[in-house]
Amino acid sequence: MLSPQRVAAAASRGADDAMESSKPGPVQVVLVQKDQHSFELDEKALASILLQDHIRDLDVVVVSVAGAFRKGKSFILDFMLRYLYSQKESGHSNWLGDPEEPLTGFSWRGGSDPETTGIQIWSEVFTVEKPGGKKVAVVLMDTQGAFDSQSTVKDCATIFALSTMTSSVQIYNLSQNIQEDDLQQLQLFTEYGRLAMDEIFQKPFQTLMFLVRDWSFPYEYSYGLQGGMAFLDKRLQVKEHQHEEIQNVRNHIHSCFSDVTCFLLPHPGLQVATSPDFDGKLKDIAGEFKEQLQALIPYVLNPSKLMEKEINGSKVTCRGLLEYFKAYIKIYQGEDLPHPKSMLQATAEANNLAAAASAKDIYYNNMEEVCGGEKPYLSPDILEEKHCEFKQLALDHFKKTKKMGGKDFSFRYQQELEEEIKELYENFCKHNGSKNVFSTFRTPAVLFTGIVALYIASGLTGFIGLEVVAQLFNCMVGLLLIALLTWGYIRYSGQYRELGGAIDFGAAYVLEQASSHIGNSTQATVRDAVVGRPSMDKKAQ
Amino acid sequence: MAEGDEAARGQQPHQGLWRRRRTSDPSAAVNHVSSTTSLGENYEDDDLVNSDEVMKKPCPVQIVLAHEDDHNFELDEEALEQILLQEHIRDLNIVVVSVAGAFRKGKSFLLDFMLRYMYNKDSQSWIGGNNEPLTGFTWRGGCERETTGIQVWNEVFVIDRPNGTKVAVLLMDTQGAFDSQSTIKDCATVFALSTMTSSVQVYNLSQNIQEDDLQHLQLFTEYGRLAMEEIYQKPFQTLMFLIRDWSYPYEHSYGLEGGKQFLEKRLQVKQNQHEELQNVRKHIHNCFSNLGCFLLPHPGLKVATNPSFDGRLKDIDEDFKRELRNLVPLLLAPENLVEKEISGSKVTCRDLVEYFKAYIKIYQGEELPHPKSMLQATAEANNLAAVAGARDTYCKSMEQVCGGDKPYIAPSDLERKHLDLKEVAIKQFRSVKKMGGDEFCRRYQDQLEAEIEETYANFIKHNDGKNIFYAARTPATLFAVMFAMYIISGLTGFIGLNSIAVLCNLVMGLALIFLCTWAYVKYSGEFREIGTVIDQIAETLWEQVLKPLGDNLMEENIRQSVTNSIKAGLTDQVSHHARLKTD
Repeated sequence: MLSPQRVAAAASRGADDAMESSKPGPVQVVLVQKDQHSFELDEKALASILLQDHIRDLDVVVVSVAGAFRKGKSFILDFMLRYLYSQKESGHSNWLGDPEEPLTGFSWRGGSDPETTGIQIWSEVFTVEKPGGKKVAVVLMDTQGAFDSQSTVKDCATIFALSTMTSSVQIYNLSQNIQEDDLQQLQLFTEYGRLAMDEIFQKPFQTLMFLVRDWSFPYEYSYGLQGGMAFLDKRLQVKEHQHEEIQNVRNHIHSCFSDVTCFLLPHPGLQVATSPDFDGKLKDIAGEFKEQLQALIPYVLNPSKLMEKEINGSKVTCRGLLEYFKAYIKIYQGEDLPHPKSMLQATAEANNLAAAASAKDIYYNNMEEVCGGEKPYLSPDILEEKHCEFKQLALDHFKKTKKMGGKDFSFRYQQELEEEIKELYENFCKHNGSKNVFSTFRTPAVLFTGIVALYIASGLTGFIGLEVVAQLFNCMVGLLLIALLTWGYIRYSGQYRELGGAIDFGAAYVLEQASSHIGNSTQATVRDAVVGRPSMDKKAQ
Repeated sequence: MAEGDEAARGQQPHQGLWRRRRTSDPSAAVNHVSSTTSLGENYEDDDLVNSDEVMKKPCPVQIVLAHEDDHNFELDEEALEQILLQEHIRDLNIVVVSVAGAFRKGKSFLLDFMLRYMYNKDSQSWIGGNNEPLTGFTWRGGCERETTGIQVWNEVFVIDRPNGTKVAVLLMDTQGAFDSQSTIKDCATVFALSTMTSSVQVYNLSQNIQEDDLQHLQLFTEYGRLAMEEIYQKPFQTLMFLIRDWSYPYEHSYGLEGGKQFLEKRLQVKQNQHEELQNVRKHIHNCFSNLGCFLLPHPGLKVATNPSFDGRLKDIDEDFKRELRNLVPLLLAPENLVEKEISGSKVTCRDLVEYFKAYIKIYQGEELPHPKSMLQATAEANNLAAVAGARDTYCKSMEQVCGGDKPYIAPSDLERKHLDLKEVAIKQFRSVKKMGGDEFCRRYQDQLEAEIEETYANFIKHNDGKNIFYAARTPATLFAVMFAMYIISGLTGFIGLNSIAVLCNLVMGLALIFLCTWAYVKYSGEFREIGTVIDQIAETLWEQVLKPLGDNLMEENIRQSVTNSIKAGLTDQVSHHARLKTD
């Protein structure tokens, strides 16, 4: 647990088998870029471990330890290493080791600052024979501690999710008790993991073991597994009268893990905790701790207890695990997933989004009351006046609503709200404009005027004996009449809109030509059309 | 005589405490940390009764009650007033020392040593004898929560400050955060209330300062800040981080000095830090006028694990006792007391009662947003953002179909487009990755669908408004009236009935005026009431007069069209046409 000196061997990166076997050590497989808060998979390192000839096609057991920083995760892993090496060499005899022997393995030291970063696995994969004769590969995984001063919530969630997704046994290392915030963090982290897994047909994760360190209440729940299970049952109990928030956390945890257990571990002794010179010798560790350790480690790593990694019911080999690591890290490097945030930031975001949506609705509903589809045309000046009034109303509502996060944070949402209101106003202007009768009447007015003019012209020319010209004018009258009737039908039924558009275009063209030719204003022309005066003018011509 | 009285008062609390200890059941497990609702009054000795007043036994009093089932908080005003409105203290400025933090971490244990100090502060050995059990805020060992709501000690201590003024000192204990029966809102409410009403808030942490401890602090103080209106200065006063069971004295030494260094390191804001980390630290600095940190060693495993531990000093490690002797005076020595201030004004005991009432009312209301767990808050934000995005997609696409500058579209086509775009929006909502699970998201999907239907109803109205014959009815009616009147006036004029002709011309003129007025109203959008009246008149004419004639007119129109077509096709009918013109 303690001592400034790093007892662990330096991490071995060599591809050389001889090098690896002679100097096993922890290998960084997931690297953290501290400043950019991004994660990177060291594929070569991982491949060199998992694709070794003798294990690549074996089913894999992954034991991972995760939890807050500086709570002894690496310390416990080193005892697991001791157990596995002991088993590998000389069976089960006294795996705990010599009282004078320093603890080695994953690097650890005392102090208040984090030590492990990213995800590390032990370079040696242990081959263990299960009772049925089947050989499995056992991988030990250590994770960066959550909630150190340089990690964001997303960092913590990513590490925890990755380790949970790739492990068959996830040990959740907690200090002194299981608090509600521990459960809520677990809920968030596992949800983040679940999002990255597509097409889950079963529970997404396998075994979760709560490991409660420095347990101080053995008279309530005894040390060990039995007391732990009783304690866990009490903590994760779902009752009818509980608040929904509390029920949801518990239901979520049960729905995520196939198996949930709990082990209560006593305090290793104050000398372990406070002495800078402590190097892991057993003689310095409290007897109670050693006793429980001898129950804990075999419970996790005994050949009869080993649990292979499964995803969607299929067992995963070492080779398969490598591919999953690649796939998962790629997902977390992308931008598809929502970012886990601190409680305040997430609450502030939700508050502001809700307030903005509510304010926007106020504006929209008020404007619909004034110039909705059933309302008649409104003067642009009045429309703008109403717009300003209701916009102010909406902004006041947004500002008045209590929101977490402070003014700076909500200012961004206020600006977005103003942009959206502006867009809505533009749409309302267009809708209002379309109600102006004269823009609608332009086409029939032009056609009607044309019909009247041509009818009179055909009468005149017929009268003076120019039959051919009269017939031509009559034909044009017929055409325009057909066009007018067609246009009316199109407008009435709303079908054949392209044809209606063409007629509109033709009428607009004629109107434009007539306006420029006669020199009349559009308004004057429209007025003449309405009162029927064009026939007089045509007669004069 | 005065000295005698003071001495007598000084003695009585001890006797009370001592007597209560003796009356407790010896077989009961009395242990490490935490506090219970006060014991009932139980006088054993009439000597306790002072001739001037009935002296209550000193004990903790519940002033904020927590109702576990409905997660509601209630202020016990009577209890609070009995304590703070006592004659001798009501107008004194008040110092409130509160201890808050997660459950089962020794908050009440610490407060009891503060009580010891307050009763014996003039003595160098205030910490007590080796075999004396610890009394005060009740506490026991175990992994379950003990204190609920907020409790204060029923005796307010009057202290002379170095400058001669007297202040009242109140000790406050709070419900531990994050037990299995508390929601985030419960934790935030208790913490916020205690921070808002205290001048020194001791934030009790275990072993280290983790980032989630800072984030919880950020959320809880923000919740408190929201309840305080018009803050011109930093909303809170002093925050003391108290790190229990500190295990790294070789890095930062026990006590205040080591704590300061440690805190500076943890709360340091660097340029290359992530925004999230910077925001938490800035927030904390912006909320508190003073920040302190004290590193307290482990009291010893016997304290932690022995169910029989009753607080006597002989069972406690020497390191712990030494640092405790430094910590408590740091908070409570006369020269170190911090008076409660709100917006720069000092608060009296009487004022504090009013503030408690005002604050509890705010938290009982629904105006404040509810603090939620990380997942729930993130899920809510994710879903709200997805709903807003999908709705925008729908609205923009529908504007392309039947927006203000688009012509009328058949209702069946509009509906088909609506269903297509609704499907697109829902698909977009579903495809966005969101926290919270399917059931939670379905709630928001339903909301999205409801909003889309509402918007569609408005689009239908806008589309209907473009149907030309709806708008054209009024001018068509008026025009028909004018035409009819013109014909009639011509005919009657011809046959010599001048009076009727004049009348018809008058009606035609009136109709013309109406038509022009209506046109202007429609064109400019002003005087809409007049336009509405004209519309109604036209509607009446249409229904009662023109509609019956409509059939005949249509028939006549058809006949006329056919005639024109025939004329156009037959050259030799010219003379007939000419004769018709003559007639």
